[in-house]
Amino acid sequence: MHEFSLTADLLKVSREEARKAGILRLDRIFVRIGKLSGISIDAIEFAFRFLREEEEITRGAELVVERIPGKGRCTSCGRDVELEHLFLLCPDCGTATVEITQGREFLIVSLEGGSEAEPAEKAGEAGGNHG
Amino acid sequence: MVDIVVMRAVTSDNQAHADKVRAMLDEKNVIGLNIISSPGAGKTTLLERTIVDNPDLRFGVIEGDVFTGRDASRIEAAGAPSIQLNTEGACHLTANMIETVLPRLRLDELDFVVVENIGNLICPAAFALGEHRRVVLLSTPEGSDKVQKYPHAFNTADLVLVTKTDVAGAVGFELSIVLEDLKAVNPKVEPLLLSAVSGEGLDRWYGWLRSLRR
Repeated sequence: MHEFSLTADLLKVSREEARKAGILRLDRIFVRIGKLSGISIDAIEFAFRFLREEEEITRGAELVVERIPGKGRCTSCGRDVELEHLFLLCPDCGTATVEITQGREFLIVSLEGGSEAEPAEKAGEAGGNHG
Repeated sequence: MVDIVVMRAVTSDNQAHADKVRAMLDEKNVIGLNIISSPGAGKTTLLERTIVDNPDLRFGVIEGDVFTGRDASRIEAAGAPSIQLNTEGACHLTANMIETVLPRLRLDELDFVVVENIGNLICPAAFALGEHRRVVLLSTPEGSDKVQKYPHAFNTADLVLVTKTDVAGAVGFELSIVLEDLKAVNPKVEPLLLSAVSGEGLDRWYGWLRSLRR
């Protein structure tokens, strides 16, 4: 399950970027995960719930995943195709010349947090922003 | 509330370590190979034979295994320096592991550093190790459908080796299925067929290695 180390890296990079921006408490981490990335989103979410506890800054963080469909363009006939798997056959002309244009990414898009260790509205609203 | 745009790949941390590994290799004109396959596909056996058959090529090997130092001992016995990395459970190697142990090999005295990844066709595919070329093995007893089942490993390969061709007939291996699937998963790659036992096809593998040498 490589999702554990990917999640550890996700948290490491997020903490690094947050500290650079003066964020002491991460509330939400927005990521994009592509259909063709070979990554199980369930496994990432599972690992995230454990690994966020490792440091104070991410303890209350929520992971928001945007799923990116796989897409490609056939370099023979020029057609845009949807890709469910890493099979690069063009459904139109049948040649294996589809170049992937999206769907491989695992990207940290943005971070939301605060410059204090505890959220200001915390009292009486525990869990409120975790939906 | 602070909101910042990052747009950074999650793999950027591993990639930074991979870049350092690559720079260390490039500085000494050493070629780095990352060998990926399922357990038992014949990675170590092929390396042993390659080392013995090519005394003029100087190999150093980093052996990744979950447990034991067996493979490193086999490589040493074949005549090449080797380092055993035990992940104790982890299913793949990461670039920082390679960066940590690489200085223990004398790069001045090597042409190739070969990393034998953990036997696993899924997880290792996601982690660059700083290699110049990625070689993926598929042994005939594993079955002809593995390219389609594990496309990520084969998609990222620079070279695919079909190993254990000496038993292909006995296990009902169908090459045409592998060729068809490879055409769809990684059209740039033409597989080499070989057997480290019978010696069939090894010349082309050695030729490929020699073509990389600087």
